[in-house]
Amino acid sequence: MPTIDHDIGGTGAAIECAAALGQPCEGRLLVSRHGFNARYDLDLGSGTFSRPGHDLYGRSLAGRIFVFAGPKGGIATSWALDALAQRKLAPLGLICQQVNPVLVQGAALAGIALLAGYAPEQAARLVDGARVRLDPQRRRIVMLA
Amino acid sequence: MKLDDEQLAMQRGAAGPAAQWAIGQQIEVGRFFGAERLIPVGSVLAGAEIGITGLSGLALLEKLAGDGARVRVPSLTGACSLDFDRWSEFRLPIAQYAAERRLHDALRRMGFIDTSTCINYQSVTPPRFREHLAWGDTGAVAFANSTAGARSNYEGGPASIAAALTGLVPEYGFHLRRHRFASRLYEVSTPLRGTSDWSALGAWIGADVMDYRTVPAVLLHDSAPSIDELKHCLAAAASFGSLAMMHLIGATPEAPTPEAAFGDTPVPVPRRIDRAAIDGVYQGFAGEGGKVDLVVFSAPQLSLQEAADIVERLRGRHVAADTRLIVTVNHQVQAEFERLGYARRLAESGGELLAGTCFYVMAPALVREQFGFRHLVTPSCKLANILGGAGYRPALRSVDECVDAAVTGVLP
Repeated sequence: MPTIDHDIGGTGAAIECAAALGQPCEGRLLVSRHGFNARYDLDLGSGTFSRPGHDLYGRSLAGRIFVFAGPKGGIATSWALDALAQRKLAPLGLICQQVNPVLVQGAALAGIALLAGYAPEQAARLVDGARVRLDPQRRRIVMLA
Repeated sequence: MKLDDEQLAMQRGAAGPAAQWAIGQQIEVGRFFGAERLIPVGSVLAGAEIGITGLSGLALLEKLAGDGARVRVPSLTGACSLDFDRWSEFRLPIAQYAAERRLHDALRRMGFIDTSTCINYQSVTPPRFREHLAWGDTGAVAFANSTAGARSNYEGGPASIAAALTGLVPEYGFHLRRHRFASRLYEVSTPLRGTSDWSALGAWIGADVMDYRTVPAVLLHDSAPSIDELKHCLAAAASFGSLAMMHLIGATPEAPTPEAAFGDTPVPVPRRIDRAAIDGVYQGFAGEGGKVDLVVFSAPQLSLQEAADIVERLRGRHVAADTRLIVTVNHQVQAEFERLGYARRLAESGGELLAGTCFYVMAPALVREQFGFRHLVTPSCKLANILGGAGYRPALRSVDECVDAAVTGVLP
């Protein structure tokens, strides 16, 4: 099970995850409580959330570390992350509790860091706008501020 | 992950740069999921259409084709973003047509059979029990795992391409028997009639589970689903909940009994799904009443039986003047539909047949803007679910009610 390590680099607590891929990155969180599918939820031309009723409706993924409940629906996300990355509209990183293969395949193709499988009680610490560092090699989300 | 000599050589580039890229992607994904090895697959269904690949995906596919990539196992293409013969009738941009053409040309150069279908299991490559597959359409994966006992994970677009080029997939998830047992039990206490009811059931369970790894099992009493009804149920379950497998006790091969479905886990008390639950799904897609712009039978593409059934239900009646009735099929069904005279009868009633595409991949937001469409009626929860995000106000109705809506132009 994922556990918390309170002594990471002296910068604050870290959240451990069960699985990860990609390269380290730092950025601010963009947090959704919804599931995510690029085709269902995004305007792929602008990288903004276009689905009415989505809790990030009108906001952009670009340059943020996107936290969401888990993937939903079909295969679109597997291509869409790379398409967004090529146009500088992609998130820096992805954090979710649950994954499906499509999300992992998409992150691998796009070269976007992905950390998954943190303890559910840690969700409250992942607040919108918080600054974090993703360390995929150590499967850790480091809380910076 | 343990690789054999041939796989190690592929990783080093001995089989060319395309295969090297492919196995590299698979190793990264396999490591994420803790796969111990790569295993051979019987066939591939590629999820690649220009609407989701974008130009970056097209560039990748053209590069792979240019690098001499060749498929190693039977490999098919999924539904594409337009009907190559009728795209202009939907005012789709010529750039979309041209890019989709280039994409499919690239796939053909690699050796893909360009079937453009999301129902390959009904008309091209039926899966067999325990066959390992690399399929890239989520509804097709759920169908193969559930109804045939075949074994596939969701192989998203690039992953399905990679699997075609290596003939392999990482062994994790639904390739392993231990991940195929049920962990939730539902009991359907109301008769289900027609594809829309089954689609609603899939949507309800999918929304309740919302987890790729979870396999639900369903007890049925007063219902005996047809293959088409299972198709819609499983496509909706995948769409709403990212589900890849569902046992229907007594109807699917790995669940002759509840005990078989649950393996070593005790069979839990079932959660009941009654008529109110199914009706709740319909109420979630109630529509706004009044005029209907579009009636769409799609998502997944229709079987010959389903498409012929719509023609029979029309009984020669004509579609209302300001309403469009659209049926999407694959090219294999289209050929039979035309040979048997159904296509002529559908056209005489004012209906439209699209082949090789599915409505929701056909730039639906752009089509809506071009024609001012808003009110759409369908028996497919999957379609209704997706098109809500494209600015439509979808209504879920039975097939009969959909046909009536097309004829009267008004939402029943």
